[in-house]
Amino acid sequence: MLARVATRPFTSLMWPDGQPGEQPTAADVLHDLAVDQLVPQFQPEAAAAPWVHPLDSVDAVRDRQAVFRGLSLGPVRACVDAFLTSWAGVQRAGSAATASRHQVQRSLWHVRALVGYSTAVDRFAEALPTALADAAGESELLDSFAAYVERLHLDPAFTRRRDQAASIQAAIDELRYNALIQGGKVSVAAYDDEPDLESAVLATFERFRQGAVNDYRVTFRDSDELDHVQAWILDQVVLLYPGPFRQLVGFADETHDFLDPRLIRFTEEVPFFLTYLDLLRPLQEAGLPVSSPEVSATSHELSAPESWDLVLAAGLVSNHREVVTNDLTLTGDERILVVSGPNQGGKTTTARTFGQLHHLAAMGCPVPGRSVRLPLVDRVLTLFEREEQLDSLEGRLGTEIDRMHDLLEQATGRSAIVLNEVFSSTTLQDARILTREVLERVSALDAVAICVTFIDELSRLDAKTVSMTSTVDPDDPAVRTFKVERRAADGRAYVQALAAKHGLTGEQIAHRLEDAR
Amino acid sequence: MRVRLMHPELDFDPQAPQPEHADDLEQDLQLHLMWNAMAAGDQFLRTVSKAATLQPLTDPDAIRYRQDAFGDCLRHPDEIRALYALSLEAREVNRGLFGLSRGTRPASNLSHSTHTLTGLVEVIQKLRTQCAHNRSSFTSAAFLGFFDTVARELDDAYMEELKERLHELRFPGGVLMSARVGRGGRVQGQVLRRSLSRNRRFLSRVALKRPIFSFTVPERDEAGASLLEDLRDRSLNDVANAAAQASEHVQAFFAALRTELAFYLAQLNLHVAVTALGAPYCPAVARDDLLARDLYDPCLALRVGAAPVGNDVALHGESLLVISGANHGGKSTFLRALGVAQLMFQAGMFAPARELAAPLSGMLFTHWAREEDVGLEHGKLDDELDRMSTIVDRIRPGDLLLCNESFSSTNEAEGSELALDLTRALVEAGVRVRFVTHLFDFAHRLQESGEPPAVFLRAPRDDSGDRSYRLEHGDPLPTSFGVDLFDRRFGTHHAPDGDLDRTANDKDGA
Repeated sequence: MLARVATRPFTSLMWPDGQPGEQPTAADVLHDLAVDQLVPQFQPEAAAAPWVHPLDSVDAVRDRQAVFRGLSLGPVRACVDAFLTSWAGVQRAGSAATASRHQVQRSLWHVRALVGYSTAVDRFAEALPTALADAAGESELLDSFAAYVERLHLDPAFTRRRDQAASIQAAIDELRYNALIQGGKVSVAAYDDEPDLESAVLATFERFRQGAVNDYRVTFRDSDELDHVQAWILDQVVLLYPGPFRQLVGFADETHDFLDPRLIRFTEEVPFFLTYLDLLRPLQEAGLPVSSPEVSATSHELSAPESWDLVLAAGLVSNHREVVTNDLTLTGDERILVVSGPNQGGKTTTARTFGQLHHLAAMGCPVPGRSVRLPLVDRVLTLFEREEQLDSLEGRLGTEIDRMHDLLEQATGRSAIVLNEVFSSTTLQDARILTREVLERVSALDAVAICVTFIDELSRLDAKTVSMTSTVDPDDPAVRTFKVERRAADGRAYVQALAAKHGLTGEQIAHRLEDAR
Repeated sequence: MRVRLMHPELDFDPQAPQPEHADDLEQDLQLHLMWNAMAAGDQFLRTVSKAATLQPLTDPDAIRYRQDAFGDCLRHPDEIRALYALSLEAREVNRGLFGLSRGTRPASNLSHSTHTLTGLVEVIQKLRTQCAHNRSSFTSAAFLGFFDTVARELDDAYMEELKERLHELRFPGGVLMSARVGRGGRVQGQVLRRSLSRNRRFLSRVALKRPIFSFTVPERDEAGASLLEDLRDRSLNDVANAAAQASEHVQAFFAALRTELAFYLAQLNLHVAVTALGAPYCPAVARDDLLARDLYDPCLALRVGAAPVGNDVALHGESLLVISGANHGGKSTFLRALGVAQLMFQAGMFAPARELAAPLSGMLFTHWAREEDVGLEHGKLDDELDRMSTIVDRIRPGDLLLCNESFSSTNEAEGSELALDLTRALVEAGVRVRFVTHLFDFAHRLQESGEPPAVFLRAPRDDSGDRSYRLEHGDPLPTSFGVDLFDRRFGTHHAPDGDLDRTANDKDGA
């Protein structure tokens, strides 16, 4: 690993080397990998961009991984969260200012937004570097961002504006007035230390108290809108205290557009990291291993012990159900995992996991598995059986072959290909031929791939293919383990187990016949 | 300001959680008969009676406090009913307010509370009068304490304060609030204020510091009027809450009074019912030895509507009482009498006996042979042991356990063994046990060994043939139930004494 000496000036947490290119990942791929279910959680739009723009360099992946590691530290996360919360308040106040037509009101919102913004930046600048100290310079991007925020916080223009806003706000906050409502008439005057009525009432009746009583307060919905009656009251208050309001309006006029554009960008991008970490947390707490994968631009080797399907696990863990992990490995010349075995035994899940691992790693994300190593692929390509396209058998097979063609056109020696139950709508003989043909092409490309198929002989295609099979509980073949293991496909293991359960294996039958004599 | 008619220092809570085995107690001791007599048709009285019976007092002074108060009630039943009627009147104050139900708006809540409080002040006035009137004729610490509390806490100066506060809550000079400039200039942090006399000027209705800036919402501006109404409402929120809580406080005070008086009213009801049967009824005393004369089961007496047959028993430090003998000898009835009397005694009620001195115990538990235990062959002992195990989970040293034919779902040898081990272990642990059994082996081995020390009562097999149910002291006799039956059916004479006056399949007791 090469430490970069020169620190780049901070521009973006997500795209430090510039915006991603065109050619986003196809929606079909995200759908086949089931991660399209996760994408809507990533808000705003900028935070979802990495899903369709995988990174193309190992350095960029490492930058992202470092940001993930930094943000997963408790103190760092806490101060980012606090900043985002304050930021949301600033935005609300800002839009209220924009929407207002009453000059004093608009100025009040503006100054409130400015005070909130200044406080947020100050706190962030003070807390973030300390929090990052524990990260020991792990993320150059986060460090340069922290330095950027610190500079902003010390900028004289910033501090002068901040102090002015604070003193104006304080002057307004100090104002106390009385309002007397008599029918439709409202009189406004200075507060004169009148005693409060509520405590007088409570004090009088306190002696009857026997125990806890109900709370009869009505909850009112707070709106930020200033209705015309309250605007009139505000007008009287302005007449009562003209000085502070004159200052307020003047200051608001001088200070437009105070939000820093890079901070804006930060608040739009950082939710990508936070949302992903939040997604992982309950799964990690349930004991599932997660790792920052070691990616390689040259090797094809895959080592993903105890890997699991991110989307499936999220559902299972929230229902307190167990998640089965699988070990996925490609070493040396191996490129293609051929998965066969009993149905509903976890084969499709394994295929998805394989695809997710490569896609998530290329997004710079931590991946589901222990100490994962894998190639950085240029793209993940998928071909899953499409149940919904049922026009005609011929049409369906035709479409599938078209899609297969497109896939092989796009695929390179640096792609990851996921084939799930392809050609299952044709005859066994045809499927055997077609699948073999496809696998030979994939093999020729030297791409990595996983292929779920009922034609287990394809696992013995050449030195690049590896056989994996789904398994059942040896004691009770009716129980699926969802475990997919690296094992020669013989197509008989399942039948053997079923027979044993009924006492019908060769050995059992021999014994029973002997006993029956 | 506390009512404290049922305890010198504690409030009585009729909603306190019942012991988990309350249903067993009710079923085994048939307590519903007593509670119904106490209620005399009033569900509230029944609730209070039930709660009081199931929350035993363990302090003899607290028991005497209630017994003395009940003495006052016996001497002044009309005054007690008048006080109770007042507590009901306080509850009815709300019901007179048609169309003024609590709403979702503070203004209507406030108006509701102000009306309620005004009504309650009238009831408070009457309470003062009644208490002052009763002060000279009552003698118990409970009632005298209550009357003094009322006189002290609700004196003339306080009544003036009440009226002034209610006047202020009607806002004769308008609604005055202090506020801050809130988000976007909105009126925020409203606190309702009491105007200062220094700001009241001659010929001005506006009691504010000068200068004053004002506006009036034009009459045609209906939206504005409703916005102002809304603002006023928001500002009233805390005060409306305070007023509602104030009225809840006052109502709670009268509710506590109602509850505690209900307990004594219910006892008056029971007293009338029991003495009508000619049964004795006495205040019991706490003592280490048990001594009962003419102890009877009030529940059975109330059910059959006749003067009960009482039993005498004395324990001198023994923790175990064993009642054995033939069926239908009044054993269960006597066991119930012991249980009910103990509950009544520790509720501070009078006791169903001519004379009763008894040790104070903790909680009372019952283990009755149940109908369901005699159901399926398999599992009935299981079920019995299960129920016993539940009791053992909960019972503590100093508690009292009544066993009625426990472990009779198995044969005598097994049943006796179980009963012996259990009884010895419980008594050893400090639990008092009263055990009705026809398990001769069990009773006999207890008596032979003298371990633990026990007193034995026996259902009589007298020759007279009348069902006197009076138990006698005496060693256990071999049970002859089956022999009786055989004898009667076959005309044989295997049973000792050859007495055939009992119908063998007649169930014991009630």
